[in-house]
Amino acid sequence: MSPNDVFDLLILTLLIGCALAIARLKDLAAAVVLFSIYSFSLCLLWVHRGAPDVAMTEAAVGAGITAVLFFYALTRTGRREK
Amino acid sequence: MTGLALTAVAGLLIVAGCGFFLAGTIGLLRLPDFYCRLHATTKCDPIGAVLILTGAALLSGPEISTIRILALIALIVITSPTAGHALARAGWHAGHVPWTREPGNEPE
Amino acid sequence: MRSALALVLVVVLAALMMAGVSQLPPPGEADQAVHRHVAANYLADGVEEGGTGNRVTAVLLDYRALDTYGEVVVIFAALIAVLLVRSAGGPRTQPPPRRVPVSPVVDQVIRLMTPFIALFALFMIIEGHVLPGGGFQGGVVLGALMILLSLALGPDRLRGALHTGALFWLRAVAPLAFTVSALAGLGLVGWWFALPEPGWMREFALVLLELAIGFGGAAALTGFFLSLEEDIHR
Repeated sequence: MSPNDVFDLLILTLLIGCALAIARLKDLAAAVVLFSIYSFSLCLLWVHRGAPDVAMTEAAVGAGITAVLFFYALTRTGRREK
Repeated sequence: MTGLALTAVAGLLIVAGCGFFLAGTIGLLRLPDFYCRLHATTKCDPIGAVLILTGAALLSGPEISTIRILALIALIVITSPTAGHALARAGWHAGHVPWTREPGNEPE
Repeated sequence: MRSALALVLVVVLAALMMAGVSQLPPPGEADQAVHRHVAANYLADGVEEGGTGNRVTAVLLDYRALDTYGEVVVIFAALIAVLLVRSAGGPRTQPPPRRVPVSPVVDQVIRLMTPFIALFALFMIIEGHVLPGGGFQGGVVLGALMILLSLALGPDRLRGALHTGALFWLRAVAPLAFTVSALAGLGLVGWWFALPEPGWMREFALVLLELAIGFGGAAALTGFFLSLEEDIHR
């Protein structure tokens, strides 16, 4: 296995861990933060795989804007999952 | 400076930066309350990032990308302390009481 | 009962997807049909036919312009849905969050960074057909800048600074530009979304499309944010 594959595997493990944690968390604000981490990890993977266009979109949309919009939506709905 | 010395200095800077990141992360995980954790991360993360970026700039040499790295350093030096300040202020306005060793004031 | 149903559903869906994936050609094999014809054509002729050195842009705005049209329309439809739904909510369950006065430090830093962020966003939009980046990415950065300004200076001052009439039309500019591009291609060249013939005209059309996507996206995001903001502090 080449170092490139090891890097990809590490990122993918992090992604799966983040996704499981997001699904299990009851604290929605923490889930939004984890979702940002998920997006930034995915962004790293895109850059590493040679797709800077997709990486820029992922960083701007996934990690930036959606987190802000989710937080604003949370102030309307409440922070805890029922 | 010869090439080898330059590489050695850059490597030292990067390792030192990683050390700061490690210290900041340990602080984030181990310290008792919001303000202490914020203190650990907002001090260690900018200095770690600046050290690593300086090492990368030394490694990349006189290139156009070095200017980009310097711009990144300026960005981090300006924005990271501001983010820390904003977080601490938000925490204070949200009613977080700083942790002390007195009884009845346990961390959450 | 419900979890058993969910399990069955997940298993069935997973089986279907596995069956689909198992039919795909093995990744990385250069002599598969998809690599020999379509992708090879894009790589060989993309620069000449697309009017730009960036083949990603050639695919997005020329070869697969219909897909990009769909994306643009989806964003526009989402904006319309948000604007329709926001005032239809029932009695509020949460008290409106208290406004904390903006710290002078944050205010100054945002004022300092604003021109740089705006320049970066414009650079991404305009140079997006040559370099990585483009209308979507630059538009999102521009929209994020607007949200930042709204957080720092207060949404009312942002609303006052933005020309609301212009913002209203800017939200629709991306679908409109793509419609015009589709019709113009059909009328002038002969097929939908065709770009005009001489190279510099193609590049000009690409920049116009990127600008439309960028400013339309930024206006849509600003619209999302301002309507959410209005709803929360109503």
